Amino acid sequence: MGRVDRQQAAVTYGIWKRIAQSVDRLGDPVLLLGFLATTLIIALFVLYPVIRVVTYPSSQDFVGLLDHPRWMRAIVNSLTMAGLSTVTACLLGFVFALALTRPDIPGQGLFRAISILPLFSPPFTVAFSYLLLFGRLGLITHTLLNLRVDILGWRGLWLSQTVSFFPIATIAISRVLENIPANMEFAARNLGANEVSVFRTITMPLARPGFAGAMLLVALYVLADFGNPLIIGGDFPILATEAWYQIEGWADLRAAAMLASLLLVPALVLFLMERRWVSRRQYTTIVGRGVRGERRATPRALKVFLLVICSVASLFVISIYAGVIIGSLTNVWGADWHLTLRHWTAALRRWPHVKNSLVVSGGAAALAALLGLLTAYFTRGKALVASAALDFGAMLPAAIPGVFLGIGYLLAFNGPPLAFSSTIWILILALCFWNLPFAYKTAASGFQQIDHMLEEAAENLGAPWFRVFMDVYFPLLRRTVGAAFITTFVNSVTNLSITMFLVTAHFLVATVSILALVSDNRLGVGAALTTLLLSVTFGVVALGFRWIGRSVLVD
Amino acid sequence: MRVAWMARIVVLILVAVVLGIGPISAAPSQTIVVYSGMDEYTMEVLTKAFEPKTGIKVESLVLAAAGTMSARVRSEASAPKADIFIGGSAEIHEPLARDGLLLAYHPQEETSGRIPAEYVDPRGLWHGFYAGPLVIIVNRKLFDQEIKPRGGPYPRTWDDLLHPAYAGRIAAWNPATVGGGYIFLAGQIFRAGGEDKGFEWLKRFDASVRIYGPTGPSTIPLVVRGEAVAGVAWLDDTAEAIDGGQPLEYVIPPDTAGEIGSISIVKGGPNSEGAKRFVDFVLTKGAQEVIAKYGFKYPVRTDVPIRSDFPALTSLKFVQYDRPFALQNRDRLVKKWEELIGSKRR
Repeated sequence: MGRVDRQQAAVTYGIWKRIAQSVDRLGDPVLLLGFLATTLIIALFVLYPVIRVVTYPSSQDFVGLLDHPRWMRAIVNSLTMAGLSTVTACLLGFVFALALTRPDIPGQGLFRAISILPLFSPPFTVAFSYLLLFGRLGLITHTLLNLRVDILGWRGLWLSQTVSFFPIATIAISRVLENIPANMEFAARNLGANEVSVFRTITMPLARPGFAGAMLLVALYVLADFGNPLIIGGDFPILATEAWYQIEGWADLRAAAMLASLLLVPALVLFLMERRWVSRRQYTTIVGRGVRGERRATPRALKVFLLVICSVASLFVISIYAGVIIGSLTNVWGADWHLTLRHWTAALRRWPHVKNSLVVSGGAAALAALLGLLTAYFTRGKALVASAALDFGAMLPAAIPGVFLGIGYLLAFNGPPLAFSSTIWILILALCFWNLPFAYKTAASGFQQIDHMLEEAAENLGAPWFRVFMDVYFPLLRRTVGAAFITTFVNSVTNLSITMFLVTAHFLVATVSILALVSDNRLGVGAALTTLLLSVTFGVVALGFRWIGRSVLVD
Repeated sequence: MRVAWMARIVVLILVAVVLGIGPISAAPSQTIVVYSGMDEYTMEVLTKAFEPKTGIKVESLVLAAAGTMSARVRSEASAPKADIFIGGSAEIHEPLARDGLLLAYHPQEETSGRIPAEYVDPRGLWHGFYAGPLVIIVNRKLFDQEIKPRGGPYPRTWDDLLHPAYAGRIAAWNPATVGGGYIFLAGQIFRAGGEDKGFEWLKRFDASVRIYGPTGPSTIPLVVRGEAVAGVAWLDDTAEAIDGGQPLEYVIPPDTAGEIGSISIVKGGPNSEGAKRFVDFVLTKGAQEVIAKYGFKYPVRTDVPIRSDFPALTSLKFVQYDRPFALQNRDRLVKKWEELIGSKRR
């Protein structure tokens, strides 16, 4: 036997050994079957649509790209905006996170509400509010301040994206800040460090991975953003909207699939970066319980700074939403200020669309929470090759822009083997898998907090895996499942980029209805429907919070 | 007990899944599925007239976004879900026709002599059922404030928009992203009597343009909200906006270009026979009246009255629009526009 052969044999043996170990670990055949089924489902509903989109255009279409200066600009613009808006959104998110995690800042209730509000906004109408308030004849810029500003274009887009996405940064960063033990800062102060150096040497280094994670996450959102550039961007081309323009303006599905594929490249890079540098490292400090020192009073200067920034930002967000409500109650938004209820009557006639949104989103959220929990159950303890692959598959949708997934589902599930594109299941499944990363990550972090001895104890007592899952984990993870459900629900209700491609003739959802109204230039009704959808979603979520207790909304 | 409660939820979800799968096969043959790029109200009135007449139920997906609808027809080509694709100019239907996704049909009305030949596709793949010109929309208040004092004319012709008073004050369409924007571009080439002269004009026009809107409906709100003094739009969208109380004026300039609003039958759809009856119906006198009245469009039938607030179709002067040339040269002309004008803008 040659040397090469022997090496090969050794490698083969190694692989077999690992597989054997995996099988051993998943010894229970039912468990193994569950694992395989989950993997298969994820491959079918995540990987397959991706492959369909990427292979839809020919390679010549990709080469032809170099001939289109507009699309080349779109690539540059997408990356530029991802850089600009991400930095500002994260800075603002950081300020809010600081304010929310320090106990002695007044007005925290308001700031917390403001820092969540933009997550509930369906696209379009809110972007219109910017135009109304800050446009060339805007209420605030022109009527109030007599300024001549140009909000259309990249500057306005920068502003609206910052406001839209800072909540994500706030949530991610405040989680990390909460985990920084106050007694470390306390110890540093005792050793004579002043506030600045405590911040520089303790707070910042410990917050850095959280900050980096938030940046990558926000960048993914900015890349896939669709509603803001459509209204505020003017003719500033970026990839996400350009893909839709090719469909809407020219019915050119090939160009759209190509542009959406281009968008996948930076998104995947960000996604891999996040996995490599942030998720895998445990930066949180492990200290014994109950030794948290009291946080010291926030220095005056910092307090004033936080208060000013948060108040200005809050005022801004409030005015935007007030703008939408005003738009729904006046005759012609921004031109005729007479009060009227006619938009509301028209919007209420569209209640079935709101109801459909709730049904679809509820279904997607329930499925995603369940599937996330199952997947997390199978990937506990990442040592196994197979579970690492499953983990990757479950996280992958985080890198897939909505437009891309929408087109992908349309292409993948219209014909055999799985033809359900004319049922509501296509919407439910698309939204479920698009949100799987949130649900899965939330569930995985929940599992980490549970001692595995509980499981072993149950197993020793003879409980099969399903009993263990249902009787041990499910009850303990109620809050986690609840949080995953709420996040997915909110994301699904406000989604347009996916639903717009997948709604069926007898099952229209509210966001698509809003798009139709905006296309029809019936902005007043659009504003009313937006307000309605927003309030209903808020109500549902408030009920959800009551049920699971206050918990973190988004991971 | 919590556990039992959780188990109940799981069971509920599973039941919902099973129940939901049911409707896949439930598609009665006396239904047609319509993908519509028309406005909702007109669709509703048409449906209510069609259903009792034929006993065929209409299920429509109305998006007022003809391109998106057409893209759906294309992506569903392997197993078509729609029978009818209605709305949008012939430009949107033609690529589907070329790729063999549409069913040929020759409705009797098209040979009756009551529909001018320019609205009839000889292959019978798409059927023109309304006409609409490009118009200039104006914000009167802003015109009085900003254009008049500088000696600019009220825009009665396309050339009026070249006056320096309009510099940076017009909302136009981007031909790379809006079908109507391309019809405008090609129209200007035909009006100027040649490609080079046409692009000369478009370059001068560019100095007046504040923004090239990325979607069809985008110009009207820009002008209403004062982001631009004047703009380019379709007549039906404009008239509908005015009817809805939006402060807007419009002019149909001479030598304007137009769209041929079309309807087509999707090949291999679930109910092609029903679809044919719907096409017949859309070309009837009654349906054409509805389209004219509620859709703010020009009917293609010569024996149907037009809206009283519209000038007679015969009084409009359309530019000699060479549709085959425009369709064949689309990629090249858009690219040229992008090179000469689009990419030069900041």
